[in-house]
Amino acid sequence: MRNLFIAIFCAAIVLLHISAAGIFFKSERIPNITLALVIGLVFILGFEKSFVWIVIAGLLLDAVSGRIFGTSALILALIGWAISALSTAVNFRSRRLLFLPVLFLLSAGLAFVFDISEGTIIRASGAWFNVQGGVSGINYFSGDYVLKISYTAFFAFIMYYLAARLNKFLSVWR
Amino acid sequence: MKFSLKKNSRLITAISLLIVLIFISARGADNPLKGFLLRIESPFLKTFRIFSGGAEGFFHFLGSIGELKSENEKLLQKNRELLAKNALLKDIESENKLLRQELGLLPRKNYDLEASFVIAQDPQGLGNYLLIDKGDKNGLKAGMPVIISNGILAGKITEVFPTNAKVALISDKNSAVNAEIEDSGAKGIARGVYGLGLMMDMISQSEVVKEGDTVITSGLGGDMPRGLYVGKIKEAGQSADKLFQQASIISPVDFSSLRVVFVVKGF
Repeated sequence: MRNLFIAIFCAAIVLLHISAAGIFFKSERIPNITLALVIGLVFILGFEKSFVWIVIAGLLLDAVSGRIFGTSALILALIGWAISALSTAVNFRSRRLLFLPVLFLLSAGLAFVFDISEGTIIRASGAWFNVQGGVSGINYFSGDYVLKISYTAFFAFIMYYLAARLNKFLSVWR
Repeated sequence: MKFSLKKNSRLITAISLLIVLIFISARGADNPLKGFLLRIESPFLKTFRIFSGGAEGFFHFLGSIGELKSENEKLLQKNRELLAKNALLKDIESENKLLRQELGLLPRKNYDLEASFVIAQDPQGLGNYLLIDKGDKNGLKAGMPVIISNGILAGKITEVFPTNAKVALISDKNSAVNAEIEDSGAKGIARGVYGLGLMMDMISQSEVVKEGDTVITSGLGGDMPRGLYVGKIKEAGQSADKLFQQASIISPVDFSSLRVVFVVKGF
């Protein structure tokens, strides 16, 4: 039952990202809400417990995106592992006042890393298999891109909060 | 930070499987799995999209209440002007019909159109494509043009699934449409530029290209009907190799806010 609630939560967030985000945000500024979800899940549930959901969220995203199937799932899984490893080493959450700005900067940085990684995988696949990757150029220095990663970082706060509430609900519900 | 192979065996296995999946997908063999996932996702995507559209409209309404009264007065005045123009336009319409027949332009109402809801767009926000709620079961095929109701070209279908289809927008960098400047007849190719705009390329140096010229589809190649509106010329110049002219095009369409599109199944 716990897994069902987590599955519904993850699926709803990913589907909202795919279908609704484009209505509320200008297309160059759409935040990576799925990445924010992964950040929230890893911090609250831990990487081990959220790993399956991270991969499923990535595959759901890939099914709709024009990217090579599996790209987002791979990158999100690696980002999730990296957050978990870093969090174990540094233990962010114990530093109360510092945690929020660290979360913001970390999320913004990971959004940038996600885009760079995605472009790299697709260009590499294009070079090896001579296929069109379907990724247009991103101007990483434009105001729109800065806003995009800022919105992603902001959504990381929301996802962190929602994941914490969900975890509390599930622990009480049991 | 020690990396333990035993502890991370599940991660390593999953990463390996995902890499294999990427290799297989890059070869184009991922359609059955993608189609299956899309089939599950699309009813929810459609629902979320419709409700989000309503919510966005509601917030937009709240924000614009103050402007509504003055806008209402302006619209009443405009309505009176339009009634007078309408009488004049009825004459022009019949003349247009005659000229279209003479030029071999198809009347727009002769298109076999399939109306479709837009249920998702590029989640990375690069504005390249849309996902619609019709697919192979509705007779859609890759390559079919997609328009907005009044004959403005939006894009072309690139991938078809049983109940969905992916539409590459004309602003996609891989998009290329045979185009023509309506007044001068200058031919060229309208290409997408990094998902955000359009450029008309390969225009002969001897042709006259001016700001404000209307660009339509030329119908050359037979993959698209002639006469679909593409946009207006913004700025003309030389191509990088100086062999042709190039011009930027402004499309009137806000691709991010599309709700309904029409697939041209036959023309």
